Amino acid sequence: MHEPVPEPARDPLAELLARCALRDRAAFAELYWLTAPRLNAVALRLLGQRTLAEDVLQEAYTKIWYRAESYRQELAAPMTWLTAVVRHQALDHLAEQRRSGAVFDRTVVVEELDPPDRAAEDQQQRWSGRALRRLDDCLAVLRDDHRRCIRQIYLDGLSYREVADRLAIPLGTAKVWVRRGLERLKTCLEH
Amino acid sequence: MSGALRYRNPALLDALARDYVLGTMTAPVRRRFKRLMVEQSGAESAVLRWEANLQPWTADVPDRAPSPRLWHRLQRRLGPIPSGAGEGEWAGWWSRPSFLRWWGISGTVAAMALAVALLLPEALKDGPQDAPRKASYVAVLEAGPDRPVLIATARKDPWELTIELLERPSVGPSQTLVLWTEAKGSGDVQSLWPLGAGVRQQRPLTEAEWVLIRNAGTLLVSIEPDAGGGRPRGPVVYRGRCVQLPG
Repeated sequence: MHEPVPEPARDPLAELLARCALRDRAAFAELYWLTAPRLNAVALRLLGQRTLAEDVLQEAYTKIWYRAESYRQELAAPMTWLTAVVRHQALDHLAEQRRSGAVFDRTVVVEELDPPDRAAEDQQQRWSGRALRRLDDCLAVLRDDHRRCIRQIYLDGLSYREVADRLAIPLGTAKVWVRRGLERLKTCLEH
Repeated sequence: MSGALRYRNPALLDALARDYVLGTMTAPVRRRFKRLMVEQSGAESAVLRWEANLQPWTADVPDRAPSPRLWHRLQRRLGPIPSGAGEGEWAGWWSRPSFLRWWGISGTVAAMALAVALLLPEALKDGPQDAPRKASYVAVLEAGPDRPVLIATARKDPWELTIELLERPSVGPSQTLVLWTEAKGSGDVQSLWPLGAGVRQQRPLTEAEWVLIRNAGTLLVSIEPDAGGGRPRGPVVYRGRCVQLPG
């Protein structure tokens, strides 16, 4: 007699988003308490200022509440979608800031925010371990400087100009490194 | 190729999605691409594919809880949250069924806190002459799911608070760890003390401090530039529910 195959565990975030789409406020509260530290960390890393990160997070969670019905599980995992909402709220702000010519030296703040510590290592172990290992394996085929370039743009929200200045390379070189690096990364991840 | 047809080219959409996700588009281009995501099927899924590819990188960034102020701002913006959902706020979130399933935790940290608190009176005896005094309140503060780092117990007659640090974050020479109470319901945050250097610390409480603990739903620890300040200015690194014990 065969053992019954257990159902794969449902992602609680997907359930909470589905309930938010039905205007279940208790579900929204639960979603917030589960995800806010992670999403705040992503916003803070991009923006480098705590109050600004919380302003962005407020806009992002408001969007999440009003647009929860637009989340589609077949396109992305819940945390991917939630992170994307926050990142793009933050990136919109950075793009407008650059357009208006505002200058903000985030170098010092970014370094202060991300000292290597046990907390981050623990997180890497328990959060999306397999996905992270796949990304790491594919990143390993990139040159160190290409990888550093892409990481600083993606995680820290630097522009091509800012990362070129930081790494003391021409602007064109930064663009080539990032585009070629991401093409190789995509090929690796999809195979 | 006409303008509209051009964006149906998967390779082009993929390249645009990549740049959008990276954040390297200028503000006007970002706005136009967002309109394209609404108009052009495939654009949103291209963006989400790139998000999924790169998102594991965000695991390098340690979690940072936002201030309690953000939740209150959201409530003002979106309307009140039903009572029971927000009560305790951070408190007890680790014991919610959805969270426990997600992290595979079989028991509750609150149960662990109770067990620790019942054992603590024996563990914290100062000497053979001291009879253990039962705790009135206990809090187990965590740095993350299933990662307790600080146990706080409050006793009365006389009022006194004992802190046991299981782990201590590294702080700069000009920074201080400060213990705060967060009131049930209102969410008002009041500082208790700056934490000292010892693994175990015990201090008498004033009546006002006892009232803060009695009314607290949560205890917090933040890293502050100095011991003063009416609200946390630095990151909150530990949180835990404050539970009144029977008896």
